[in-house]
Amino acid sequence: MDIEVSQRDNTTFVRLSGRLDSPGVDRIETRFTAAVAGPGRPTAVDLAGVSFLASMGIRMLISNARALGQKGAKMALFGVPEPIMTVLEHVAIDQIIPVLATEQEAAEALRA
Amino acid sequence: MHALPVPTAALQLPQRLELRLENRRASCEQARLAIERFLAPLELNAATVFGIELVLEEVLMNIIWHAKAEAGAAEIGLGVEVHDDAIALCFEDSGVAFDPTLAAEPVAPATLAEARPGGLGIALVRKFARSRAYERAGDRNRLRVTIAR
Repeated sequence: MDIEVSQRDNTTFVRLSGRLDSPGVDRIETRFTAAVAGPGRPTAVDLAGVSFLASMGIRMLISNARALGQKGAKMALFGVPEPIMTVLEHVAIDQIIPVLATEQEAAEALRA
Repeated sequence: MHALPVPTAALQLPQRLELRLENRRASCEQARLAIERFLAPLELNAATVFGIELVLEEVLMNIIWHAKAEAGAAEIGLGVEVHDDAIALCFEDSGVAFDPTLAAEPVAPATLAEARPGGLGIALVRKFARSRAYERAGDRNRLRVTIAR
C-alpha cells in the first residue's frame, strides 16, 4: 500500500494504491493520519488504485474523517473501483462520507 | 475434413489445503499468499477471489484480536476446501468461545459521529459468504465459511 499527498487550494489530496488490508493499513496509517487529521484541511482521497478494502481500512477512513469533522473540515472519497464500492455500500460508509466519481467532483463537494 | 478439439484431462488439483498459523497479525498475509498459490490453477473470477480474501482477512483478524496468544491460543488452524460451486474456509482456534453467526447486524450509522468501528468485519463476512457454520468442540471454536464460485 502506497500513499501520495499533495496540497492545492487549501485542500489535501491523498492518493492510495494497493491493498487496504491489515498489513496495508499498518504500513500507511501513521502517514495517512499525519497528512489528513493533522492539518485538518478538507481532504479528497483517491481510491482508484486500491485493489482491496477490509474493515481495518474502513476504520482508518472513518477515524480520520471524524477527526477532520472535529476540526470543521470534511473528507470525500473518489475514483472508487466497483468491488471497493460494494464494501463501502454494505457497511453504509457511502452514507456518511461522500463518494464521488472524479477528483474535480470531490473538490467541489468539499467546497460546498 | 474438420478436426474436433480433443478434450484435455481434467485439471488435477489437491482438494484441500491445511495451514497452521501463528496467532499474530503477520499470519494474515502468509495465509493469503498460500491460499492464492493453492487456488491459482482454478483461475477463479475476480469477485470470488475478492470474497475469499475478505472473509479470510476479517475472520483471521477477529480471531487474532479476541483469541489471545498469551492465554494459550497460540495457533490457528485453517483449512481450504475446493468444491464444484464454492470454496470453503475452515477456521479453528482455542480462544474463548465466540459464535460470530450470532452477532447482531450493526445498525447503519446516520452520521459520522454515530459510526462505530466494531462489527464491520462480521457484517462484511455475512455479505460475501454463501454460508457460515459455527460449532464449539471441546475448547475449540470451529467456523466454516463458504464463498460461491
